[in-house]
Amino acid sequence: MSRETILEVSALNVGYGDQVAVKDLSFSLLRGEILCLAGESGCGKSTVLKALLSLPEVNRFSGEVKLLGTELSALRERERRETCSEKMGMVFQNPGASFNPIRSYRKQFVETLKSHGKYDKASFKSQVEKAFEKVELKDADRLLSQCPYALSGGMNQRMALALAMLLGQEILLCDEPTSALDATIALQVAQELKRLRDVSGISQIIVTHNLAMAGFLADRIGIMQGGRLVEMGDADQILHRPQHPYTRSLLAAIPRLGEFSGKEKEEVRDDP
Amino acid sequence: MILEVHKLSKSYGTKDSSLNALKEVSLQLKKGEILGVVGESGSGKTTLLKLISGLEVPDGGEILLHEKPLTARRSRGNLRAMQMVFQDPVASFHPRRTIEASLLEAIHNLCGKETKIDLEELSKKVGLSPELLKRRPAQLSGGQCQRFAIARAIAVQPEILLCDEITSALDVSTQAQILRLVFEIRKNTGTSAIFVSHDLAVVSCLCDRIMVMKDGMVVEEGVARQILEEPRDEYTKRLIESVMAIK
Repeated sequence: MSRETILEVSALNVGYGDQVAVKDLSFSLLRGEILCLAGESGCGKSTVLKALLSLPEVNRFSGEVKLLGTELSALRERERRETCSEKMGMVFQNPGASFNPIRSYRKQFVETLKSHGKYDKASFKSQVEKAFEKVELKDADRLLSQCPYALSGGMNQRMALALAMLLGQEILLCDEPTSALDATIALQVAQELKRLRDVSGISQIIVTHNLAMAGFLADRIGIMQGGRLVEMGDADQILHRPQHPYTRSLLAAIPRLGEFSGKEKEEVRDDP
Repeated sequence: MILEVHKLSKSYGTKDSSLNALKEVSLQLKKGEILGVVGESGSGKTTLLKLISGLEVPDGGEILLHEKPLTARRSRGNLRAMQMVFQDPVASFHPRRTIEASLLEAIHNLCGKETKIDLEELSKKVGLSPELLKRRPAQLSGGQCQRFAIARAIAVQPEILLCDEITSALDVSTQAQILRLVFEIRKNTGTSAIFVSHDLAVVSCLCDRIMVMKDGMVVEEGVARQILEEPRDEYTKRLIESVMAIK
């Protein structure tokens, strides 16, 4: 692989207050790659995203984060915030909650673009239509006039993706982007995320507790446990030839469709 | 037949704008059977359980327990017969009381104040150390709390467990343990269960029969294997395809 590395994290220790939540984390992200971080609640996966965005609630104790070759901690706070928000976008678990529920999408799109210095009145409509097309949203005018509360979870999540595209960010950080959605809608959103990468080449770091979803989306998967990355590799290798016992136990715990515990059931049914 | 439900309906809201949450849903449950109910958010799964448990009163239809219709005001015995376990395990207990106090309150309310119960034995039944009884819900993990919620339900020896998304707030490994626990309870005591979940895979692992709901109606019902291998309804097919695409 000769693709460019756009994000490089090495020996990162971050946490809250003086408590370390993520220990000694190192990984890199290539352009156009989808990387999934998977693990159970409290393993530190969401903290990684917060640390990458340099959110103020997360303390960095040691380690490096290089975004397109620039070490983030070397920048001044304002500069760092600007760089992060210019290059990286965030999609949250609850799609509706990322927007103001009772304000029209048009206003919120314009507002967000303006705050990123990317708003151009003349081309706004055509830009939006182009972005909407990529996530299979039709009827841009009508959707823009809607408020988030009036749209379904899946639609709202796609609007969030469209906005991320309009901002022209290079890395999309997604925190459980499909966990709040029903199975049929989750599949649609997952397909949009993949398409977004294929069409626009946006790299993605997706945090999820759902290993099946990670397998569907990711080129590479990292498994986290207790703040540490215990294993990382190609999606196929992690799912089919896991090395670490924790990864194996996680995979074994996934309930699979059509895997009946049939024999035991028969016994019970025979009871009077 | 332990439980029969005939054409149960329920709507919420005002006269002007009301939502028909449940439209003439019927079901039957045998002794020792686990019935799975799947469907997307808003399909009426939770409403169904609330009506059966007596937490809400139906607009129409009938619920029969051992062939006797249940009234809106239920006798203690009938309340005891059906026990609900909820999605959020921590919120199922009084936040400022010990688990022990919450368990005793529920048991005394349903079985009478003089009832003696071996809480240590009960904790062991759900795979927890009796020491945890002295803790408050916030001092327990989600999985531990859910085990106590199940303990509270089985303490009064119900005939039917009503489980509303009881593993949705839990991690996969905890989920697997809770599913095993429900399975064990059925095996050891013959307790029937209605198991509501949006996760088709979870339901297929545990249940004998599956009922698929959409927009307040039952679109398909049958033996678990048949639903998964030969779904007839279009919506069921789409649901299975979505899960399969990702697995």
